[in-house]
Amino acid sequence: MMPCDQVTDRLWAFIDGELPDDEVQAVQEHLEVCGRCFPQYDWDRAYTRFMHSASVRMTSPALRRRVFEALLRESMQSG
Amino acid sequence: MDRIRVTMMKAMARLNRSHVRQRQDPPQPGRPRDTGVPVAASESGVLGKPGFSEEALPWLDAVHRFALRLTRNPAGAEDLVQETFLRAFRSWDQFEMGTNCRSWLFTICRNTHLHERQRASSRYELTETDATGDNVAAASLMDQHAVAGGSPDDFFEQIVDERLLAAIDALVEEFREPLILSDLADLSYREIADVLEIPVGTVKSRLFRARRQLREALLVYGMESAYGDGPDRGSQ
Repeated sequence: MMPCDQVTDRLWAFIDGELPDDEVQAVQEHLEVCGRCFPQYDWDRAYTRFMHSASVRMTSPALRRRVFEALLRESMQSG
Repeated sequence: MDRIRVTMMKAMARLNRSHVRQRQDPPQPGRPRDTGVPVAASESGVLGKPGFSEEALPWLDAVHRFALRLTRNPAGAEDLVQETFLRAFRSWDQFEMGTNCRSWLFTICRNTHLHERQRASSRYELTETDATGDNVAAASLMDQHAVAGGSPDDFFEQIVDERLLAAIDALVEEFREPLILSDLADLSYREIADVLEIPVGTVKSRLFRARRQLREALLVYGMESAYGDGPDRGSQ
């Protein structure tokens, strides 16, 4: 089994979906049984969920309208 | 002007209908990726540049999130987004269809921001902060939260957006940029490396340190909110 320090080094890449395929299973198997690494993984995953939900809230319909209007002006002036 | 307004209203109506986006919990492993907002194919002719509506406009929200944290100023961010899309529109002939439009837009956004800042003659300093002790302090705080019976998700739910944004803004720029591009704009390590013109390994080291620092700041804030007196940080 992959040792704890190697799993810790790969946790973010694992969560980000950036870990090479041949290492994914080793990390998964380790996390299923390790009481030390899993809490860290749990926190890191909670962080990514939190950041994704925050990013969804940061949208601006008014800005979309403003940019689109500017593009239309540009398009009509150049066309 | 009336023709612009009418055309815009018709186009915006179509755009708004396709605006609803849903995220789901990330699969294991991996996190959800921002696929942008779909735009109706019938809009392709509205702007007169084939492909621009479908390829570039879906990333407007993602570019906005990046611009907000680059400028740390809502009004400045909106100006930056508009300028980014105007520049992209004017240069659309240079974009190679089938390549990564999102990275291309982020590069334009960042370059525009840097250019504007240089023009304003503001000083631009990068300072490496000392991350020593981040993990020790964070581990202590996470343990304290667990002992109190809280889950990680419980903890983050109490963080208000304003506090998150303040904590992101407090990061030095070399850490803030990869964190925003990854965690708020959903770029991959490779895409971030292309935008920032740094190696993938540097992206990873800066991103991971940025996350540690951000989480540390959120933990301190969250624990103070939840438990009043704040955590015992120990001797440092």
